[in-house]
Amino acid sequence: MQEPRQLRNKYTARFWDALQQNRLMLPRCRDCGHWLFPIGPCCSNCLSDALEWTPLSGKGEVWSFIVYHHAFAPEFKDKLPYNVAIVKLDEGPRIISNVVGIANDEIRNGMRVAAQFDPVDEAHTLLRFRPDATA
Amino acid sequence: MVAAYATQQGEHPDKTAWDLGLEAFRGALQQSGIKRDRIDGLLTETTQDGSGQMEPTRFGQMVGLNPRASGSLHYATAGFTTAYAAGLIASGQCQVVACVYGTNQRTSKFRFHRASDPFGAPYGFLNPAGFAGLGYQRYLHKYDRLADRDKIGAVAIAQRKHAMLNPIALRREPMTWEDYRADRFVVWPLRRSDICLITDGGVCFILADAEIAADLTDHPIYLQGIGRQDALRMLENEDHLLIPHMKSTATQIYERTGVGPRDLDALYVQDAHAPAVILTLENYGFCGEGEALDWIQDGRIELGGELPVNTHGGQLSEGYMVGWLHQVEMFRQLRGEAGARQVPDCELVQFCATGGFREFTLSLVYANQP
Repeated sequence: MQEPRQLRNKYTARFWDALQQNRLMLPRCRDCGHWLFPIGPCCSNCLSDALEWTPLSGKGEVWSFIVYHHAFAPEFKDKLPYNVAIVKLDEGPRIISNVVGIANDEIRNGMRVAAQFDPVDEAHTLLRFRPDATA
Repeated sequence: MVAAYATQQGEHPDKTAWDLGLEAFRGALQQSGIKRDRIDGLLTETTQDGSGQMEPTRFGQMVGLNPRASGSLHYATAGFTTAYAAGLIASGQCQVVACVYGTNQRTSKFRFHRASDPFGAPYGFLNPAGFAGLGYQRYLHKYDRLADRDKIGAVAIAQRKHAMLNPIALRREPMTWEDYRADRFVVWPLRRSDICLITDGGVCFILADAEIAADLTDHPIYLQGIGRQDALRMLENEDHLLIPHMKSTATQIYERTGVGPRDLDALYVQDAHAPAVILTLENYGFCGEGEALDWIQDGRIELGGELPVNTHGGQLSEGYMVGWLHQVEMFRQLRGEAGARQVPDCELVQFCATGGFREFTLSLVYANQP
């Protein structure tokens, strides 16, 4: 199973560093306005190199979600049943995460959510989302 | 296609993937009478467990081949290998291409624990069923069908009926609606019965230039056309989860072959999960968008119904061989060799596949005539 530290690379290091400071940031293209997710070496929309790390609102909505009743890796066994969701951020990107602070059977498509920053070890924080009617 | 051979599916604890690929390769040669040295192209699919088994150079060495061309595809399916072979033949590089896959991932207990999206691993987004579940949940929401979730059980039940007529299938016991509704959720909204069965086995099929196919075997089946559309921007594409890029593949295959959904005697869907059947029926125009859950009821996709789907049991009941067993079944059906599950007067069939995490789509049409 991959831990966040293994997802850290040349392109994503600043994303993880920002989360560590409780901020959600992604590269944004200065030429076409595209937000990069997944994060890569250039703008995937127009191939420009003019990328600028930019804060996002951390707000969005539940696009789709599932509930795991089987652990495909042992470290998730004691978390069952747990949800995985695609959150569509207000800025556009769709991002895989968990929705926390709510029972799995109360999650709904379109539900407004806001970023929550969950430290997983001394060097990494995971981006999760909690329901937020004001978001 | 001039030969197609499948080994028994299930557990082969004493065999490696190489053994099973070799068994299938030999079986295809013996069954068809094609001499090993007629093979001038070799394509394999390497195993998905990262062990490197079925790597084509070593496999070619094992079976003593110096082909004109060899190669492999890693995470794709049999139809994509067929498209590769068709390119080698159409360009004149090869005349007779053997396509081989073998796997022992059931007894080696490969759990497909890899993340559905590399970024998703820390969140527990593991196994391809995750992506399929997100797709089905989005589908149910989009068409306001969340209360009808269980209607998709018609896919697993139809395919089980077909598998009961297939001696190499892994699961051959009956499945009722009661059985289906009592089945456990693995990744809600998918039950265990909606997800493919990991199996050990081998498949080999041989494709040849249509000009010489009839010299190699009595009853070749003929590839009529190929459609392809990929969507590598994945979740950046609106509704990627519902595989809308299948529509481009559908347009291509139907324009190139002059065949339409109503002309087919049977449909073969690379069914890693039951929702693949739903999305295929809608995106290829067998029924309207949002209608498939109703369209598949009352035996419509069963043998004897309007459109038999996966007459061998598919990957939900026969075994998960990434579409390779579907190729064997099309060969048998078009040659009238499918025994108790034979579709009467079977002349035209279609194969529809999705590969990777929904980013690749492909379709093939085969006929029993050139």
